[in-house]
Amino acid sequence: MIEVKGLTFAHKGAAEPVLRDIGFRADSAEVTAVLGPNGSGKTTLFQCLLGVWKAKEGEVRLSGRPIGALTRIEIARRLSSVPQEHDPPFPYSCFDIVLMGRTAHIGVFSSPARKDRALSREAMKALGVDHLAARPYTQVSGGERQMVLIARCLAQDVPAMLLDEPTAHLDFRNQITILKRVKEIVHEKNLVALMNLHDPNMALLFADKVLLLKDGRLLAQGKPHEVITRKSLLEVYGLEVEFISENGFRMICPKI
Amino acid sequence: MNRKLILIGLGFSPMCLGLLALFWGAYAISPAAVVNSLLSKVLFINSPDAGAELSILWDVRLPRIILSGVVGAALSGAGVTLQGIFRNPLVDPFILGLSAGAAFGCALSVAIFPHIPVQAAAFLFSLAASFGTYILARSQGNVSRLHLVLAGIVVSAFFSALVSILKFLVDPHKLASIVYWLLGSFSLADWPSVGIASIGLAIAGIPLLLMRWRLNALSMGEEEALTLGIPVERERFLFIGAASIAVGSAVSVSGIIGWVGLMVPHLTRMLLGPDHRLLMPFSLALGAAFMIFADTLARNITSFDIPVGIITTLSGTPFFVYLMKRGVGQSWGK
Repeated sequence: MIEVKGLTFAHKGAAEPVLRDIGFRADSAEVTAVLGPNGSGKTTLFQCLLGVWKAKEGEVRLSGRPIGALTRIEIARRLSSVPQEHDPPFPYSCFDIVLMGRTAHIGVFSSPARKDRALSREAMKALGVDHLAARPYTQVSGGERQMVLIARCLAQDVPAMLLDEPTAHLDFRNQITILKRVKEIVHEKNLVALMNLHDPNMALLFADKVLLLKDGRLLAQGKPHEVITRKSLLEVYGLEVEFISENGFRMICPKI
Repeated sequence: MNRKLILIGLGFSPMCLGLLALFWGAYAISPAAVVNSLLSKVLFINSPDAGAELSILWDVRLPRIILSGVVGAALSGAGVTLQGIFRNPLVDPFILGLSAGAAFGCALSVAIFPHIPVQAAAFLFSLAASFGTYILARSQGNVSRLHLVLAGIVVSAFFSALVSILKFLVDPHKLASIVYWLLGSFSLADWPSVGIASIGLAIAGIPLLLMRWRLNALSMGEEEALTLGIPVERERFLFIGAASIAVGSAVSVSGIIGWVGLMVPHLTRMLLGPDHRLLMPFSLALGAAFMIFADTLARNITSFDIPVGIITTLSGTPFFVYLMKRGVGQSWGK
């Protein structure tokens, strides 16, 4: 469980805070999607949750413990992350990338043991990318990379994961495949998943809970169909939209 | 199976090359005599005709071969470490100003304080330069890679300027010995310098070998390494410290030998892939092998001792160009 209360964050020396008074809860077995325009503070919020940046005011709790009281390793044993853009300097094999997920469980002076390799292989199997194990990560497709990174989160073996725009740069089919698989895994393994999305339609299809962010403020939160409305989308994106309902699906279509 | 044989071959390459190098030198000794005198020394047998040959082998060739191996291993081990930390395959072990610091130490000892050994001065100032770079980077707030690289450039420039002043002021004889030292050579190798370099390599090499897997995660970038559970600043300090000790002690006994610390890690990565679990130990082995090879050439292709730094660069560049043409893509990430 990720709990955030009154979180306010400003960069060093900047007068204007990037995040103001954010408060929400992300529960296990739920996909929580964060929606908001570019520059609304989505990535900053994630960096505060990961402890990369420290909150100015307010509190972040991971599995009940305040993040300020946790060491790097303790944070990494509670929360894993799929980073946004990814181009490692060396062509590690996909298996080596997944194996890095075990870092928080391995002593400073040791290397991965049989158990770590087994967990990594299992994680790759769970996401259907075990055939990529020996391939260089730098040479697989964007969709495959995303799957490998999610496998790394599974190998990290923690109760919560953050996905920073997991569908960016992916084709239509891969977007659906990734989000569907994430949702299945989250329900199956009882995980907390918090993800940034750009497309509110994807949030309608795959999220259990939605947070709407604008200018660093949380405008609304709750069930997707309650939060994503004509009024709220106009307020957040400044865009007139129409909802289309058919066969029990409700989709958003922008007015052009 | 094939790969295993290659690994074993690479692992033993320094020993094999070192043994071969024993048979080749300015003073011709027949292979039988080499084996004979070494066996007699090792087994404590006083053979009557060993005399001069034994002393050439035991006091000149052997320490020189071992020293070149140790220095080669230290430079390429530090190269692997810093390339991983800086996430850049073009980083060489001198990026933090170690070479300029060592050069200043040497020049200072030669020009002004002749009673301070060159090795001690070079070692102290190379570490001082590296430490200064770190402190300078730290004064900018977080120690980021960019700050470290910039601070390294500043510190290098500062010490290089000091070296230039000293070179300008000293008399030509002293100038010659500074210049010769800067080119890098093993011609002064003896057992005490083998001891210094080996201790330095051991102090640095053991933690580097134990922690080598973590370089994989560290090379993914600061933020990602943090989220994987690595206290980045602390571990980076450890890695940089260990690499500096290795390079500092190597430079102090051999002068500044370029290219090895850049080229050998690169070459090993092309042969075995980027995973630091293999990359680190085999870079150490190949660094030793390459340096033994280069120094054997340095002392044999002409009647006088060519500074080995010239040989490493001359033999390194064409091979590097060849590898680049063959497909460098694999090891560059793109």
